[in-house]
Amino acid sequence: MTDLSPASSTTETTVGFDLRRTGNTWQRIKEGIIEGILFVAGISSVVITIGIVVVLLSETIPFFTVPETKTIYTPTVEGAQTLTISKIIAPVGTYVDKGAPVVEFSSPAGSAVLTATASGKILKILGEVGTTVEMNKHLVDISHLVTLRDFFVDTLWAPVFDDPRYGIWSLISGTLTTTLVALFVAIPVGTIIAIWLSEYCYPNVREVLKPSLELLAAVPTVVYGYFALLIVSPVMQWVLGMFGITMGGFNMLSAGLVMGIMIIPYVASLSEDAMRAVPIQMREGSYAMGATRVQTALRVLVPASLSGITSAYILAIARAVGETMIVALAAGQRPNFTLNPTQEAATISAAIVQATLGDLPHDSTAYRAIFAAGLMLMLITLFFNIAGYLIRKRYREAY
Amino acid sequence: MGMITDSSTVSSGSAPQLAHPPTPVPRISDPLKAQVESFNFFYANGFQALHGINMPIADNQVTALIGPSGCGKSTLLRSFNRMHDLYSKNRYEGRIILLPENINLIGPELDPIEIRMRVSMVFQKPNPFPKSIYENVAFGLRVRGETNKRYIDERVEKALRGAALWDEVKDNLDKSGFALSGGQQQRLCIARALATDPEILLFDEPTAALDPISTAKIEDLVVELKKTVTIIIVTHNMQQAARIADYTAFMYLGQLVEFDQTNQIFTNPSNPMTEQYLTGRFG
Repeated sequence: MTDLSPASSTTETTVGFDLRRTGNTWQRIKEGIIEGILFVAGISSVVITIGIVVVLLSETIPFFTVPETKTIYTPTVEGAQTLTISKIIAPVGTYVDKGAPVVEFSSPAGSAVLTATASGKILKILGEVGTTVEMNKHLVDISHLVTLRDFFVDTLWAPVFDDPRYGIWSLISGTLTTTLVALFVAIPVGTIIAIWLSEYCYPNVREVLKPSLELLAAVPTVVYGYFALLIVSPVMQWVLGMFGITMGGFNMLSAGLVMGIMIIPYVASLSEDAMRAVPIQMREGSYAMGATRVQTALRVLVPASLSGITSAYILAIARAVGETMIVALAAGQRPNFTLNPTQEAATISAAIVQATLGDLPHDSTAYRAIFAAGLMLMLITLFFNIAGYLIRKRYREAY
Repeated sequence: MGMITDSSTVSSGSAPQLAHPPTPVPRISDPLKAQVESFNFFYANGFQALHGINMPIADNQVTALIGPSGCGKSTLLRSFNRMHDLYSKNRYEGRIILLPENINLIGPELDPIEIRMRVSMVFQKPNPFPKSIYENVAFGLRVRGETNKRYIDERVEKALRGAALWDEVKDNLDKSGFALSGGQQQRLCIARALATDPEILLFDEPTAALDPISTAKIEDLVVELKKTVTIIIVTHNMQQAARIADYTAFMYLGQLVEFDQTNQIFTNPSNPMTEQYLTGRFG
């Protein structure tokens, strides 16, 4: 008699099977190694990204939370040799706003007031009422904390000045202007090249042209930088001169134009890939409706490959936003809150390079400012990536 | 519809050998829309895909092209709207006469775009454009430079009704063409092809990618459409040809083996190869 109770059943019923349990031992080890390599490769990009964010935040947070001591010097009065402190308006321990009077002086040539160059708490005053002090000497220390307001509302970036300023907008304006100029070049030219390569060009010509175009992206950016400064800039000066516009040797226009040339391959090559990936039956469907080549390209293929083309644009934008060498060489390195491309200006990346070339002490606020600027750069890129993701999601076509 | 056999229409040339020589093409008494005459086709690599095809296309009737894969039926179909012109170095020989004007469809002096305005095509896989349902149907009018909104509205509705899709999509004309099911997408493609009032409608295996219910709808539609347009359909499905076609052409190795009225071909084929193919002994 057969016992049917499950407890004594000797055969196990397997529902489905574990793929990792198939094959012999050696095969399983091999598969395991490959799986491991794939996992490490996949996870490394995530880990690196997180690591970068952690580093940026670890310096950016102290930038906004650790106060720095600012020294204020006695004012000068013409005709006087020394000043005498007549009144202390803001004693040690009080908070003052920027521009608020701190100490009043009198002298034979007239009176003077020392005002706070930054908001914060008065740490010390080297003197008291009646003390005679020399002009232009260290007198007051203020403990100043960089606020989000200093960062986002101020329009001057000068972290190493005696009166440091951290207005990120003067750098963002430079970054946006050069990027916009670059996109004005790269998006039309790159897209037209992509359409031409994918729809008009003979296949064997494309085989030669596309790799040569991609070489443009392989030129070292320092070469592009000097190209912009020494060739494009004088040419643009001459061209604009004909319209009566004068432009300095350092300008965002030439830097942006050359950056645009540099990112053409990103736009053209990736857009062309996307357009060629459109299924043949969609292309034929358009021609079968009596459409011309231009109509097929612009009304069917471009919309059909819009998600790929958007990716190409986003990559090009990210590349332009982060580009350093061209703008550092050709756009000048003077932070300048303007969107006028004929002006010189510094971008975020150029300012970072410039700051790190000097010898900034590691614990200084100016040093931390670099990381805050770097975080902004990353946020801008992230913004464009998210925008691109949303556009791709909106236009993704399932053919 | 009496049949008069024309024995002078088959030319073999360098054609590959068939087990049984092609049956002479009968002359049909229905009014003609087109006439294929001594038609050869060469692909860019020099391969001759069609050999001396002679075939009438009856006006406002359904003509089915059947035969095993690689027999040249799609190649022949795609010659009617000059799709081969899209790829350089393809070569036509002979004539495809479009009636009543008596113009040669494959004449090099004729602009293929002109032809495609008069001969529309529906493909094997539904291929709506990445546009709204409305814009998909309006596409043919737009590429012809039509801008009158009211006229386009009218034509879009008429085409969608003609493709038996209007009732299903009339409230969603702004939705993407991709939002439709496979069968609906194929009817959208038919509406797109109808919107420009073609004289001939080519179907390249239109139901190969569809489920049986969608297939039945398309078949009904084809029968309905022949009232207004001449239809040529390539199909792998012999029952489909038997159900919807008035005339059937059996092709093999780039040659037209037999052409006749559909019931004649299916009940009493005159070429033994046709019978072998229809009974599933090869192909």
